[in-house]
Amino acid sequence: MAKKRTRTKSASSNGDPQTLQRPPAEILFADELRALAKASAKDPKPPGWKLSPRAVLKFVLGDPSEDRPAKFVGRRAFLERCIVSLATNRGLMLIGEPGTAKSYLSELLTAAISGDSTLTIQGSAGTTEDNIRYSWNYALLVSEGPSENALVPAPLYLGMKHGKLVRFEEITRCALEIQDVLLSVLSDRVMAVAELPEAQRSLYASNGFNVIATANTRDRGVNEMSAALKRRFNFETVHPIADIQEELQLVQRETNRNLSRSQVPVTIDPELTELLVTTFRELRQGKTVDGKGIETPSTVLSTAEAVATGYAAGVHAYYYSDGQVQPLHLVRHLVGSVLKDNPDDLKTVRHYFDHVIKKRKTEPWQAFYDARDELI
Amino acid sequence: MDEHQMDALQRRLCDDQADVVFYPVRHHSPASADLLSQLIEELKPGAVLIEGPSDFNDSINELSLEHELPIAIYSYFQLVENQSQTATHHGVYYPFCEYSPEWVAIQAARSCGAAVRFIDLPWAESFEHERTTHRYADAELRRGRYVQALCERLQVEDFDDLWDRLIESQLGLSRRDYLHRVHSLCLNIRVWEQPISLSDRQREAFMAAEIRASQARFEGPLVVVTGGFHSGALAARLSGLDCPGSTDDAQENGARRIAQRGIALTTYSYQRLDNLTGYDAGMPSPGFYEYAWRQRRDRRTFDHQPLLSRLVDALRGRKQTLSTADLIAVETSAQAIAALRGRPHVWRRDLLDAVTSCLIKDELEYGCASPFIDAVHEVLRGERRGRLAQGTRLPPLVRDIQDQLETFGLRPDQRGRQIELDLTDPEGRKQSRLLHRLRILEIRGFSRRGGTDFSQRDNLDRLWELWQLRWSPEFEASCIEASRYGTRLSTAAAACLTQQAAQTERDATAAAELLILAAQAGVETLSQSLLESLERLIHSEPRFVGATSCLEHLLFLYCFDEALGTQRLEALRTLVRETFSRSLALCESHGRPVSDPRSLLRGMRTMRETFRRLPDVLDWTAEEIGDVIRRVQSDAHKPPLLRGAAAGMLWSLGQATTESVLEDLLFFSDPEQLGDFLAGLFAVAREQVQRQPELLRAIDQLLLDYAADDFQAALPSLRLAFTSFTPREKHHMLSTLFQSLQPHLKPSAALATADAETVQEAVAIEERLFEAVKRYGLERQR
Ligand SMILES: Nc1ncnc2c1ncn2[C@@H]1O[C@H](COP(=O)(O)OP(=O)(O)O)[C@@H](O)[C@H]1O
Ligand SMILES: [Mg+2]
Repeated sequence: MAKKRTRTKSASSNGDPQTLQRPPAEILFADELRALAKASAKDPKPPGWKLSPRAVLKFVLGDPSEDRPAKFVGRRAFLERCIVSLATNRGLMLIGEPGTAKSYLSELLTAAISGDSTLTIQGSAGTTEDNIRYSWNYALLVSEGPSENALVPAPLYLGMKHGKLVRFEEITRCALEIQDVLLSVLSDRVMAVAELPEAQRSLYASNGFNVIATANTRDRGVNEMSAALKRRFNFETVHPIADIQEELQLVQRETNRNLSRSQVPVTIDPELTELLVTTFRELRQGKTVDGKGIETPSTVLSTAEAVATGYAAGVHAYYYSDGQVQPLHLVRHLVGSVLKDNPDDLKTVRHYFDHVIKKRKTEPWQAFYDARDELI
Repeated sequence: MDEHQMDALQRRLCDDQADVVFYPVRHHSPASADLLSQLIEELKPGAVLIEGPSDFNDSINELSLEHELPIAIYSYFQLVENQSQTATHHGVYYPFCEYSPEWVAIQAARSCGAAVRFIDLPWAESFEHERTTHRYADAELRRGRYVQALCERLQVEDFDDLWDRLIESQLGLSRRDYLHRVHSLCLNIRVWEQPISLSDRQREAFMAAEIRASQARFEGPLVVVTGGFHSGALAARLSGLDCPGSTDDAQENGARRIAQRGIALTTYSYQRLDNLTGYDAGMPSPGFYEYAWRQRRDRRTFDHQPLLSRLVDALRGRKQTLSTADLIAVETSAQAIAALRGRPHVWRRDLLDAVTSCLIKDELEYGCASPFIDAVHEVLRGERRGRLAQGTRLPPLVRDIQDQLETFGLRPDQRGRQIELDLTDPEGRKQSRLLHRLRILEIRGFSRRGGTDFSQRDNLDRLWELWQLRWSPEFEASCIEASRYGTRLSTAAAACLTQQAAQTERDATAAAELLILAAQAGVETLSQSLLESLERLIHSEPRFVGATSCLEHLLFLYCFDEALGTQRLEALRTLVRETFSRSLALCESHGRPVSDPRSLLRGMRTMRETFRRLPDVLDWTAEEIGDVIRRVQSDAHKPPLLRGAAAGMLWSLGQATTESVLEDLLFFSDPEQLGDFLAGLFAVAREQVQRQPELLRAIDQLLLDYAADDFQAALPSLRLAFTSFTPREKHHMLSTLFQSLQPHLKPSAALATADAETVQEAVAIEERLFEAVKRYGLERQR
């Protein structure tokens, strides 16, 4: 039987970012958020927001004047649209290829706007209404009858009650009926709790409530959303990072950050990052930097995978090697974590090595090519 | 340039009471235009000097006729490389719309009685690269690190946004502020973008000289209206201050000369203005800026609502549903986005973003069309197209075109009509030539809807053409634009084809197609330089099938054409000769594998045909050809198909005996090769094969010697080989074979009398039967 859950306050006992494996954005960037809140205290804010829209923009896109890099790399207009959508009466739907930082962006936005990125519904075929709205503590329900005390709130309930943003990850993986639970909530901004006594039967959303959903374009067709629900969202497509320099910087920064978080005193140097990112981009776009067409593997080769590969290579170098990340490590983890056991993709990448990498006569490309035997 | 010098220059630039006032514009900027017209009204200068083509000064009064904007000055010329004597034709526009600062300056000057002069170097003399097609592109402003850094600092997306943010959407911006902001922006761009290009420096030297001359010539202050990028350099040159790129170095250009040039007014359209991107970009969304201009002129606060209702119409026109809720969402978002961007009113980008945000419910690929985005762009673009006033001077080509259309009764009208031409009739041929010339020059309003296809030649029984003629608003503009190719229609069409040929590489088929185009436009368009270009294309063709397909076209034009006037045309002899030689050379160097067997065989047949028909034109004797082909035939590295075709060629040219062909056959008796060899042989020596039953008997003997799986292996390619023959020929060959094998038997009566349909049916039944055998796995038990 479900126990009544009490929400852990974001900065409670285990709130030390140093000991958490992956602290949520509002903890990780607590200082910055506080500073932004202070600086924008007088600016107008949409009701229920912790920061002004402009401060949110600054939080996500960084601030060159204070030497803070962008957390999410993307076009300004795109982000402005996202933020404005959240201030209107429609939800925000982020769609795109896997690994384009949809989830990460939604985390950043919820952390900045509501100070809480943890009201998250993870969409899957098994997601039920209970996971979204609320369920009951049956012991209490039996002993006390239906009351707010016996109710176990789920993220949507909490978001409405406290006026916070709710994240709905991978929404298209849920069954249509489940997606439709959002319908009335988004249009009427009220949730019916039929079991409760008359006076408490309707939970009206407090200011600040809204929904950010993410959907993977590779999943589409599994459960195409209903037209009615589509109308209640503004859609934004998240694209892979357009500029190679920006992607380079990001991969470099994220990889090294991940390494240092796992206390691996290894960094990946810029040349290797360039090699890694170039390889991923070329395979992803089906085009080499000098414009020749190549075949693309079916696997997703997103920025996120590039970071994962760099990270794994770093860990490997530290524990099994002399602590220097080598092209060999990259190839090995490209196979291990990205291409996995898809023989067609392996073939495509081998072909890419034989026809593109081979011709690059400089280091580290040569060493990269020499490690091609790992591609089996 | 140090800070101190920069300050000094900036101060000079911002002085709007000086005797020479430098007014920096962004071309097509309403804010720029509005503040400029106020300046001219207040200052009442002696003359307004504008960055525009000074070779138009003699015609500058044409600009005061009653034109409907947008229009453009079109400047064109022909450039000849001294060494190779090849000519290229170039043209460039200076577009004006209602809110262009240059245009507004002309109007303001006229109403206060000031003189107007263009002061820029004629384009022909400053021509640098062929990428630009219009001169008011602000390319200098858009590029570079300074703009990028500034965009980052001001947190805007790109230069368009930056300009909107700093200038255009600041409705209350004073002239002082305008001058200050734009001069400092441009000066910084200039400092960051060193070195300044040679052509910019040349133009600035020229403009400075013009300004000096005007100082002497006109009483009162001067207003100098140029792109902001040039203002600093001009002020520096005139007042002895420092500015990057304000010195000259002499330059010589002896490699090319300008052979012919002209300049004239032409019409323009918002669509064209908006389509310009990249290097050619100007200010996007002319419809939006025209709207903003009018609001501004009426001194009203900017209101985006009317644009929104136009958008609704545009969407409904595209059959997109737009609910009231959607409209409210767009409106709310637009307001919120504008507020987030710190603007008091909804501006162009805000509208676009609001629509993107609220209406698109799908993945939006980069640069991919969406009906919603298209509709917004359509509204922001506007539909205006210009019209020249009656009596505007037109370039000679335009008159030539109009005269000829008149003479042949082909003037297009609004309603449109179709005309059918009989190409066997001399009058019809003349009309057709005229229309083809127009088509080559891309004159609008004439399209060929049907008729004899001289490059496919599927049906030459009827020589005709069907054309659709309808007056197009772009007719005149396209005639004017074509003026860069020449002053008369025939020479212009020829020059255009020559340029196309010069821009093509290593492609004999393309040469043949251009040749057919020229022939259709009349053989007068086959100029010497066109022929030379075609020859070059043929010479450099690397593929055998490319060369022979060209040869096939030539053979047609030279031997069989009855409509175009190319039969036995002297000018084509060289081309035929060269193409044949090239084909022969490529045949000899042809290696494995064969990617397109049909074209290969067709090429071999064309060569044989050319030799048969035109032995007098070629510089090869049958023996010489035989030597080459024999080498091909006996080259073990060549594919069997080609070797078979070579054998067939020798045989049919009388360069090989039947006996030697039979020997060759034995050589290719391998079941893997037999079919390919025969396919080649049959395709080229079809008649010989039918006349010589020995060959068929030898084949029969070979097949009888095959083991069952050998036969199976050879069968598919053998089938293919026999498709060279018609059913009747096959039947004839079979019965001859039958008779020679068993002379005492009569050929089966059924075989002899069956019609094609019955035979086909029988074959189909047989095929089904074999399929069934295969399906049930019975084939091995044969
Ligand atoms: N444009 C981007 N800006 C910042 N990080 C990015 C970007 N694209 C990818 N990443 C990296 O990818 C990681 C994971 O992405 P994630 O949010 O899980 O992707 P998605 O939800 O789209 O599948 C991020 O944590 C970040 O390291
Ligand atoms: Mg995700």
